[in-house]
Amino acid sequence: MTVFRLMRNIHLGLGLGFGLGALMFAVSSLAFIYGYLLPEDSAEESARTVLIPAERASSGRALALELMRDHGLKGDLRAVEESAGEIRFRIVRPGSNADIVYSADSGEARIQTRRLGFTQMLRQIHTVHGFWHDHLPSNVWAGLSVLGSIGLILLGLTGIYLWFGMHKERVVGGVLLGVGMVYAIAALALTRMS
Amino acid sequence: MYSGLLTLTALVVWGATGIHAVFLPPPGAHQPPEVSEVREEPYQAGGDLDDKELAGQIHEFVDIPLAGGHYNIHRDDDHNLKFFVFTVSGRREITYLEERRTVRIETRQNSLIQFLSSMHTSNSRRGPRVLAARMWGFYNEFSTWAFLFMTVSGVYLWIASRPGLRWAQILAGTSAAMFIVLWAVTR
Repeated sequence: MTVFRLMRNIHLGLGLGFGLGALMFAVSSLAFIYGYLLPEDSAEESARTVLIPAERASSGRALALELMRDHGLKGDLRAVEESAGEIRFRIVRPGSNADIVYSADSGEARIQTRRLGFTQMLRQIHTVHGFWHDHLPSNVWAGLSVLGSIGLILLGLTGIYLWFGMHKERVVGGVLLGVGMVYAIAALALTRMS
Repeated sequence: MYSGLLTLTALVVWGATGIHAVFLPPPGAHQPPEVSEVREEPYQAGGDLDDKELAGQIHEFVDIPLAGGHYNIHRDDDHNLKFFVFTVSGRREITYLEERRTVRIETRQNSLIQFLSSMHTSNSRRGPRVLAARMWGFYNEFSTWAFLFMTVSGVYLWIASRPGLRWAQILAGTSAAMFIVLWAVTR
């Protein structure tokens, strides 16, 4: 196999391997940019109450784990506040968040869930990062994001190689590459120096 | 191919930003960069302003390049008004030393990758209002459309040129299935 053919296959493989991920990033980026033009994303809200004995709610974290294990909640634990007889916290994951208020006196945990719409979920997945999440799929999204980022750079490099191998395209491509790089790097450098 | 060549810089910036993002700390654990520069300027506050209004006036007075919003307006232990100004080059911490009638500006210059991370969110409507940053914003927005076009046209080119490649079919099917499963599990 020639190097050109190998590069072409790597380029194709990267493109297909990250195809839907790339589409998700492209569409979510446009949703960020043109969010003001989009109709407000419909979100479903629901509320329910579950009973948890006080001994299984010794802390916000213990209560959150109990709700995740036995009551179908999933996500990262955030904003835990404990005061006399009451625990408040939030469980979030891309596309959904739940606010929980627990009363130690009654043993009732009131769960208010907000399930976000499609574009809102896209935007939240776009910004997932790090491997410190309690919620496993969020870590997987973060992993996909970093792999996609490496893939994007490799797509660029293999793309440059493939273009350079097409002798007839060198002049036009070289001008476009040069203009794009000079414009973008100059804009970034001048901004940094401001 | 042409769109890829024209937008290569944006693709590299996005890729670098995505790799950098994996090392970002969880919410609440962010540590701002060290103070790299301190300067002071005389300033006399009007007597009829509350803290929010005064912070707004000081924000205008100090005229920080690339300034975004100002946040976290509060009083420190010595009762001086404090807030910080976001910029794509790192935050600037402002303290109004009321008894000395002086504004102190502490610069926390961020790293190049943190700067690029901020800039990757710029577009024609978002980002610093200086000309160079606006030029980047337009380029970044154009590159986003180009990226969408390349994603769709890339699949078309594969189907149009080498649709029978077995490994490519398997790869496309497997990755799409994994993506859909991950979406469903998250949902």
